[in-house]
Amino acid sequence: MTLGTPSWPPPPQEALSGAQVRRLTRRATEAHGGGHLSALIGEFYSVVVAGAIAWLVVIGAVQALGIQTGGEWSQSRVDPGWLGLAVLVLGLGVILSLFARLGPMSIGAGHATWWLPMPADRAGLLRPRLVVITAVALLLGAAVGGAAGAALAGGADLGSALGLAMPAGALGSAVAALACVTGQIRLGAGRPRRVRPLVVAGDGLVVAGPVLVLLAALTGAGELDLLGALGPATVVLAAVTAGLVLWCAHGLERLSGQELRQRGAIGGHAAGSIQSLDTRELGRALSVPGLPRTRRRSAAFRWVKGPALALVTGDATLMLRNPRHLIQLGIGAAVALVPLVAGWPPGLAVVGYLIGGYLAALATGEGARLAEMSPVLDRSFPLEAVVVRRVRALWPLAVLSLWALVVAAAWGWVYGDPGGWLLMGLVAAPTFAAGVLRGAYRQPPDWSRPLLPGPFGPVPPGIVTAFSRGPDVVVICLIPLLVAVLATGPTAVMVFVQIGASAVALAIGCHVPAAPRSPHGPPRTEGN
Amino acid sequence: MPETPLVRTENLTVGYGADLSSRVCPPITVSVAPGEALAVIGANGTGKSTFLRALAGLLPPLAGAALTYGRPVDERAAWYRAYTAVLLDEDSYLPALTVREHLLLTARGHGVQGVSGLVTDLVEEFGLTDRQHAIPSALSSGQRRRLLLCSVFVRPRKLLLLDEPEQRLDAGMRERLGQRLVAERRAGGGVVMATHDPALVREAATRAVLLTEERVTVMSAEDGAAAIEAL
Repeated sequence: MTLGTPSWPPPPQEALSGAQVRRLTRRATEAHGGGHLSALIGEFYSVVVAGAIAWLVVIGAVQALGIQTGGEWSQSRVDPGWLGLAVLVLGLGVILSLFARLGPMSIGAGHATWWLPMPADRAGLLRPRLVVITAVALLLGAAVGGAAGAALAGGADLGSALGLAMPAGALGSAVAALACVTGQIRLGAGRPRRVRPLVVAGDGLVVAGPVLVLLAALTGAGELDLLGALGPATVVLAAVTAGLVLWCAHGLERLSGQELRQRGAIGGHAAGSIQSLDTRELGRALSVPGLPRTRRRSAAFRWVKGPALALVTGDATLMLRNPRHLIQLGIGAAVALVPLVAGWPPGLAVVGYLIGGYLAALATGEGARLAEMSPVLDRSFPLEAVVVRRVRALWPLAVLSLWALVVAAAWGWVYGDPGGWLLMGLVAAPTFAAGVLRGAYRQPPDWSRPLLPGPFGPVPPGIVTAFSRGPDVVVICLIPLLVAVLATGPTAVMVFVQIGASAVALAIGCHVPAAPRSPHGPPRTEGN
Repeated sequence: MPETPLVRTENLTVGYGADLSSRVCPPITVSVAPGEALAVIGANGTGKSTFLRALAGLLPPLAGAALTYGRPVDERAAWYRAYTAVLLDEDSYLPALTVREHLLLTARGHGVQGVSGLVTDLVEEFGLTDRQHAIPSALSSGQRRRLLLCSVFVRPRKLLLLDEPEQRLDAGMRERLGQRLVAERRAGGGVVMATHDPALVREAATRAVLLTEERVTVMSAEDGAAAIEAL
């Protein structure tokens, strides 16, 4: 045989099995790593410490003022059963939506390109993915189950409630995920119509969760006993989960290469979005194309009279034309309002406000995120870079001011002094706009440095710090408002302090870092 | 009095790294006056796109100087953005806006008058009339490229920086692009384009600069086209 001329077809003993190909790839990847897990842990540590410091500042201020934060679980206007049901509905919705879109067995685009043309058995290549999906589903389910258990316990008999709710929630979520994967492997391969109902059902459940609690609180719904049903449900779900895993494992060879490539592209897009903490980009990656491919007619944009209005119009159009963004604003408001309407302690109202507010803020920042990905977009109009950044803040600022007024009105209804709360909410709104802008324009992690081992493969150093850019400004610069909610109410002093903090947040969010300079060239002079 | 060149580089050294060892080609010294079109040619990996990114202000030079309109490149400045239309090798669009809306928004953002007719003519010239109400993700890759080309022609500019504008275009569209670029320089505009298309160089360029690992050679457009064919 001539050197360099392969025999064709290769003898079976020379071809690698799927498992061997997978192991070879993993070893080669690990050999090019070089980072240490301790670095990743260190990053987590610093972010957690920063968050803890912010929380301690709030608590310290509250204690220094010597005021009771008040509020007891016993004052809740929502029966724990309804709350537990809502958490389960929401959690199942998230998992159903996620896995219906990602499944089956999404492998990265690179793996699809290099693995699939090989004669290796597909089951050997994909089996670990099935294990990972099951594990992730179980972990997510455990979180959902834990949250539901905590809600059901309602502050009493937490241990027994968690003991029942966690396994039931975990297994229920795993079943939801595996049902999606199985459906696509065994039934829906190449037939998106069979997957779409699962996606719609998942989205519906996501919306239904918070709405359920709001309705239960507003209508004063009676007691709902869920604990008794959890034991039998756990047994049934465990059996269904085991059956689905086996059924999935036997269907792996049936997956077509085309399907794996398509899903791999979606998975890669989704993974990138998660790493950049971009829920909208994640939503787009996971969505069955939601935008109409053509419009009956194009808008004329006659009101656009210059570059600033052009930028704002682009940002507004991006948000208003995607129903997902509007739903996200609504869910954000629901998350912020539920603790208030349900009569929960102010601490939970604060957490709901922070989470709901940032969720809503993310819905307004797509223009900025696109511009960070494609720098030409920000450079296509005759505006200074710093002016572009300020203009990009206008649309989030407008939307989030309205959003904050809605939430603040609820504060006024619950805590009294509606005028003060409306003012406080209004002056606090810019912090969310600043946070979403800071998050949108943050530098991506440096993938060229030695990678660190992560739970889902190698990750670049600095990734945790990158995650925290945006939320950090929101948490820090909302401290005056948090203190007002927890202790003082919307006093004139707190309003002024919040105005100052919001101004600082906007300055940070609109900051444009200095341009990189030539390391060896002559000093560059400013243009005149 | 000689006219200020639109582009002038003096021993401009470019590369992706922190020191001169990461340079991708020898230092480049060229200039482009109004009414000129410079074709940047060379094999893959010789620094054509890197050179363009440096002129676009997206990459700091490792050494040397890059001037546009007689001033150091400063892509953050409004004057630079007002004068310079850039087309790089990336899909940049707003996913919810139609083809027509992209162009209307860009033109209105630059204060162009009579934009509706201008956009209608442009989408017709670039064969997008039937797709003008489609969003970018519903277009083929060639159509998306045409949309990006339209976006640089719908706005005012003194200088066009184009990275392989012929990419994904069919033969007819390449010819139309060539005619557009000829019209551009006849109107006093400047063009710097990285390209692998000898026909485009022959038709639209006034000079060419050949980048190799060893040397940088400025030559006539005809010689540039021949050099591409010999690569």
